[in-house]
Formats: sequence, structure tokens, C-alpha cells
Amino acid sequence: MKDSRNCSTVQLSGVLVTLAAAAVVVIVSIFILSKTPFSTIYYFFIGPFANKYYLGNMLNSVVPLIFTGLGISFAFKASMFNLGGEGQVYAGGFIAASVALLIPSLPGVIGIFLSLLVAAVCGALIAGLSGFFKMKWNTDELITSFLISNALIYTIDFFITGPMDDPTNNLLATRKIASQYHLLRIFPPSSLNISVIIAILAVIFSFWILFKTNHGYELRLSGLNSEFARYGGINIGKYIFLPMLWSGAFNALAGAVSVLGTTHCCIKGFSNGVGWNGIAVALIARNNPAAVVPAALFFAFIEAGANSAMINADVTIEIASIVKAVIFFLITSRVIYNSFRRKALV
Amino acid sequence: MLKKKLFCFFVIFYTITAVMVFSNGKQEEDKGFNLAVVVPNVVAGSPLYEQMVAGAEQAIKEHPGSSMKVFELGFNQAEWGEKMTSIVATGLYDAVITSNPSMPDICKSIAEQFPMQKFIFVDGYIDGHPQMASFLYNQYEQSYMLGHLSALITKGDMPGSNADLKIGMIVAQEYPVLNKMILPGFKDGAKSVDPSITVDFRIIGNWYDANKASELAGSMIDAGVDVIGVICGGAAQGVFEECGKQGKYVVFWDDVSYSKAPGVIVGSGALYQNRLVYEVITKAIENTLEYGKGQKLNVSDGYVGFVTEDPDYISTVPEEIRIKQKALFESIKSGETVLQTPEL
Repeated sequence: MKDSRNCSTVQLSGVLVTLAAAAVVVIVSIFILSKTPFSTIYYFFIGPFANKYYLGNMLNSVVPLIFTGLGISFAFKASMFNLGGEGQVYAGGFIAASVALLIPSLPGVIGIFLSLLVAAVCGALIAGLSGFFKMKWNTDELITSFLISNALIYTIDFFITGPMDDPTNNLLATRKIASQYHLLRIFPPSSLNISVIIAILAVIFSFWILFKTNHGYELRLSGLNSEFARYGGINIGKYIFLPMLWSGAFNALAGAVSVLGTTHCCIKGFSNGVGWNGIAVALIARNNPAAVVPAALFFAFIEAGANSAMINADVTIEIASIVKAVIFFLITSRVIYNSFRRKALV
Repeated sequence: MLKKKLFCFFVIFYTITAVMVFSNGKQEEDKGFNLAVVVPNVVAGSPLYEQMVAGAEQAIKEHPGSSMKVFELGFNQAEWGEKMTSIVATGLYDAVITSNPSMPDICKSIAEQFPMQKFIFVDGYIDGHPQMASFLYNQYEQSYMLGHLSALITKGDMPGSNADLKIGMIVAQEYPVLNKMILPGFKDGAKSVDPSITVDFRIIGNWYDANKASELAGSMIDAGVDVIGVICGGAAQGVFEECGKQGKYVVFWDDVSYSKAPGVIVGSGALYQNRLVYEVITKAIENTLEYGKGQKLNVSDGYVGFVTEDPDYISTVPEEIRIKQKALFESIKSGETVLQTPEL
């Protein structure tokens, strides 16, 4: 019990120090890149809370990150690597838009439910394919999920810029979905909408599945030690395939809620790295659904801060990419975490 | 020990930074005319955006007390709306000027949320919106002139011309101005020389894929095309290279472009955006700009043209063709030839 608490403390310290180090990188980068560094730092850290619009939009951008964070966490919990998040998010958005365009006159609630459901099922099948290949032929899911995702992105691009392009619009995008399928906005003038509630429900659901059900227990055990799980009578093949289904479904939902809640059509390239950022969110959260929310908030804050600094001061949006890259490096290389663990062991 | 040292470092670092930031951080609001120049892409490498920035800079410079800031929204169209809204939400800018046919659509919903914000669109069109002034170049006229030149070349005896009466057009994507003005103008201009000329029309699907553009150009040349009209941003480089290799020709829209591929680019339309933006911003600063109106700018207004005096054009295109082309340009400019421009 004491060991487990100690381990959690070490993990938390490692994450907090990583985030503090990332903030140092932001400040140092701003001093290098900006002619008015104090003003830029002010707008980077305070800007996202400056008015309702910025705050609401920051919270809205948390939603897809929560979904992708959950998606990746599910796969990681079972020691599966889903590198196809980006394509699954894109496919989710595209499918949700397509369903909504196919059934333009159903009541809003039914149309929204159907769009989300079909998107989630398709996302699950796309990611599940990699799980199935691994289960059947032991192919590396890291490679297959990545390759399938890339192929999907190009295929969807073809449809958006070709047969499904809206010729009345100057954007590379599908037609707009019917207004009854727009998710209700709850914090105008920002884009924050009721998808934030769906995301919180998804977090609760994921936590319940992973930690309160037999299925979650078997999934986690298979991830921790598949040989031990097999010895204990668990069908480990099932836990190669099912976590990928969960993972794909959550990733696709990230895209679907973005389309139904924010863009209202599928714009080329709308996923814009949300799938990749989900990996960093899951890593910061140590694959714990409850911790996915603050991790996603942190990531959204970095993006919103960089936006605010770009608009109000003299740096470009790329500063967000620098910070995210640093966080990703520190988290994945586990430099700080490992040094803390060594100290704790000593 | 390490933890303590790190903890001390972070506490000292953040305390010093916070003190400095809160004492020096927030900028004072400028009281004069503030202009946001919003580029839905990046400025570098895009002549029309460079012209927009230059025109705005000139107007701001001539009006002491006014200021401007340039924002680049990047390549991802999905982010343009949100970034534009973030700029408007600062409430710092008296007017926002931007240049792209898609921007009026994007800004309509933003204008509803911020009813005091004024928008100016060049190379975009919206009419009757009280917060917006727009200026649309007559792309039909520009395209008609380029189609006319392409037809003269495909029928002529330049080294790269062949017997097939086929010209081509490669675009990045379809959009209303392209479908309703540019493509019809290009076709009508070509058919005014010979009604049997056909236009091979291809779409890349993005504004940057030079390889795909090159492949499309190669396939069109194989099919008998000898002059290709190009509207595809950075991907145009692929068309220049393929046409250069195969000894075929390119016509180009919006900017004096002969020097980009001398000997390959045989015709260049021009939009005088620098001058337009300068005049519009000057009016906006002097509070004489009329909002709620969409204006169409023609060759006769002097904002749309065809570049006839470029040394590369003169050295590449035979005199006989140049004389016919100049005659058409002058005739449209003087109002002698009136083209029926389709409605958007």
C-alpha cells in the first residue's frame, strides 16, 4: 500500500516537474523570439482567461483532446499502441458529416445520436482492424494502425476535395450539415457546446469500464503481463482486439463532436494533430481516464496561450508546437520521471 | 536534494518572471485607427498577399497615429474561422482587411457575434452586409484575355504549339469564382478565336502539391494540350517544370509572373491589389469608405489588366500574336468591347 502511494507520488512529481520545465521552455523561447517578451509572456499565460470568448474556445478545444486521450489510454492500458489516432479522428468527423448530410431532415437528437454512433462504430472498426491483424497474424499494430490511418487521410481528402466538395463554398470542405444537428452552444460567443458534457460522461464511463468491471480488470491485467493473464485463464487474444475497438471509437468521437459542435462541416485537415496530441495527453495522464481531463486542459491551454500571444504580441503560433514538442520529448523519454524514480529507490 | 534544488529554482524563476510580467506586461491600447491585415495563408511567396500588406503599409504610413498588424492564419483552412474570431474578439481593431474568396463566408458568422467590427474584403465578394465592404476583381475579363491568348498560341506556329486545338487548365480546387467566372471566361476567350478549341480541366485538390501538378500537366500534354492555364498556388512550380521540359506553355493569373519561368510563361494577367488596398484603407482611415456594398472592379477601372510590356513576354511571344492580344486588351479597357460577365 505504502509502495503504491510512493509510486504515485513519484509519478505525479515527475509529471509536475515536466510541466514546470515546459513552462520554463516557453518563457525562455519567448525571450529569444519576442521583442516585447514581458508582454508576450503576459498574453501567453493570462490571455486564454482574458474574456469569455477565449476561455470558452479553450474549453471547447479540450473536448477532442479528452476523447483522443481516452482512446489512446485504452490501447496503452492493454499494452497496445494505436498510432492511427489522427486518421481515426479525421474519419470520425468525415463519417459524422456524411451521415448528417445523408439524413438532413430527421429530428436533431436522432440525427446527432446516429452520426455519433456510426462515427464511433466506424472508428472502432478501423482501429480494430489493426487489433485483428495482431491477434490473427501477430502483425505489429504500431505499424498497421499508422499505415491504415495515413491511407485513410488521403482517401478522405479525395472525397472532401472531389465528390463531396461544396461548390458553393470557397473552402475545401463538404456541405454544411443541417442546423438541427449542430450541438447546442453553451457559452456564446465561444464555440463551447454540449460536447463537453458528452466528454465528461465518456471519462466517467471509461473509468467505470477500466476500474470497476471484470472486463476492465482483465484488460489491464493483459496489458501488465499477458503471460500471467493467460495463466490465469484470461483470453488474451480478446484483449488485443477489444482495446483497439475502444480506442478507435473514442478517437472517432473526437472528430465527430468537432464536426457537429464546432465546424458543422468536414473541412480538409480539420483534425490538425488532435490524434497525435492525444498520445501526449494519455502519457501525461499515465493512461488514467480521470487524469486525462487536466492533461487535456493543459494541452489546450498551451495552444490557446500561443494563439493569444500571436494575436496580442509579436510571436508566431509555432511557439505552441515548440512547447508541445518539448513536453512530448520529456514525457516519452521519461528523463525527469526516471531521475525521480532513481532518487526514490535510493 | 535534487527535488529541493529544482523546487527552489522554479519558485525563484517564476516569482521573478511574474513580477516582471505584471509590472510591464499589458500593452497600452492605441487610440488611433488600428487595422488588422489578415492573411489566410502566409505572406511570403504569395504576390497578392504581399501586395495587400504593402498597400496597407503605405496607407498607414501616410496617416500618423494609425497603426496596423499583420496576422498569418496559416495553411489549414479549418483554423481560419477560429483565428479570425480571436483577432476580432480582442476588440482592438477598427477594421479588418483580408483577401481571399472564402473569407466573406467565414466572416459572416463572426460579424453576427461582433456587430461593431468592420470587415474589408479584397478579391472576395459580399453585398448588402452593413459591416462589410468588398471588392471583387472581374475575373471573367482577366480569364477571357488569357483564354484568348492561349487560343492564339495553340493555333499559331510557336515551337511548342501542336496541331491539336486543345488548351488546358490546372486548378487547386473548385470554388464559386472559379466555376462561375474564371473557367467560363477562359473558355469563352478561347472560343472567341476558334469555337472548336476545347479546354482540358484538371483539379489538384490542394494548393501545394507540385508533384501532382507536374503529373497532371504531363498527362494533359500527352493528350495534346500545348498551353496550360494555372491557378494552384505553390503547386504551379510543378506545371512550370513539366511544361519547361516538354517545351509547352503556361498562362498565369493575378500577378506579373513572366520571370518565374521565362520562356514558359507566355501570358500573365495582373490584379493591382497594392493600389486598391492603399485607396481602400485610406478611405477607411478618413471614414469615407462605404460599408454594405460589394463592388466589382473591371479592366476599365484599372484594377485588372494584362501585362504586355514585359521583356520576357516580348521575347517569347511572336509579334503577330502580341498585336492581336494588345488589341483585345485595349478594346476591353476602352469599353469598346463589353463582355457579359456572369453573376456570382
